[in-house]
Amino acid sequence: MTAAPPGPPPPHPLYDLAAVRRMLRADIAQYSKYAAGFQSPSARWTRKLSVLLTPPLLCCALYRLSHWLFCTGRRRRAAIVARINFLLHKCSISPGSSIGPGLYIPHTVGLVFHGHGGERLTLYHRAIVCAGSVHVQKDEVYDDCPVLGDDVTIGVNAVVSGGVRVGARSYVAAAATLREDLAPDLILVDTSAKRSVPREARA
Amino acid sequence: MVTWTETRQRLKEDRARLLELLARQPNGKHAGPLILNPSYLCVFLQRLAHYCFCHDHRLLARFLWHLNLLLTGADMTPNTDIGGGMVVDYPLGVGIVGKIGRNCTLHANAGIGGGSSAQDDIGGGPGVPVVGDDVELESGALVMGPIRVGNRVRIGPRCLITRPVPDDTIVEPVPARRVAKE
Repeated sequence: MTAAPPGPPPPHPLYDLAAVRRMLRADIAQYSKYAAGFQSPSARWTRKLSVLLTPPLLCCALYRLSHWLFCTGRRRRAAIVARINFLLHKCSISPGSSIGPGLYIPHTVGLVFHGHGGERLTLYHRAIVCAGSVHVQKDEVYDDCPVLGDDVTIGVNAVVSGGVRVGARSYVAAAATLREDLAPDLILVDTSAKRSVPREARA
Repeated sequence: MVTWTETRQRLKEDRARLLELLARQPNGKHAGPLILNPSYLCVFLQRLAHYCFCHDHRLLARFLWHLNLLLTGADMTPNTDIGGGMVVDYPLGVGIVGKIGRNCTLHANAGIGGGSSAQDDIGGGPGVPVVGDDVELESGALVMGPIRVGNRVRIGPRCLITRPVPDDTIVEPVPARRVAKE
């Protein structure tokens, strides 16, 4: 029996299936809230039910399942479910990562998540939330993995790396890089983009 | 032209470096065979594909390339010559074309390849970079165009490199700006 790694305790552990169902209900409610604008009010019930088969919700469901298997000690099965999630949705969410209810992933491709997240977390595609150093075994969450507060949004192509804390309701905007703590209620904006120049001037 | 002995030697170095990094972990024990770990699997498949490519088994090389893309999400072309001891932390979104030295470390969405209109060949192929030894590319870092990156270089997250980088350099990204919410 190896000692547990000295990582932060998971804020939302899943030890029973009732908790998995409760979290998934919150995920579905969150997804439906954003998807409502795209759906006609006169849509049939089969159409409304079909949101359950959309990649964002399937991805959430497989992640919740893998995290439940992980928390109940079935590490190998958790890794297999996480791999199936990767093959289907091309997103790598570590089974040891703990994310609160109301997870919303609009597009799953290229997402990497290795850390802990709060409630109503929004992760856009190609967002990277990862450890500060190379961890070959990514099932566990380590001290140098980020911990995100409640109502945090990570934008497209943004990178949050290392053992940083992101405050509640903060927004890491598209393409921004965060390697230090971020206080609550802030927006982190990428400033590296250059102004556009005419094509002739570049040649 | 890489031989089978050379390929096996490089794979041995890859395994040794991965296990060395693993030994630093607090819970440093890998569950199951190493080949099931995507970090090793993507390098393993690329080495096999590169060997097949060099010995005119182009179809098999292409099959392994696509298998790598499907299983690990890393697009590592078979014609890329990679030195031993490579570690890919998260293979998802990694794209590699060019010539790469020993002990290279890549993180998620890092890329090495052509991208500009220049098509000069500096040793890796037309329009692609040549990367030295002990180089680390952090998440989202890109090295593009026919440029040379020196030894012992560390490129920060989301940095775009389109000019040559000298030896013993650390490239840092522009810090993002904090704005208060309305």
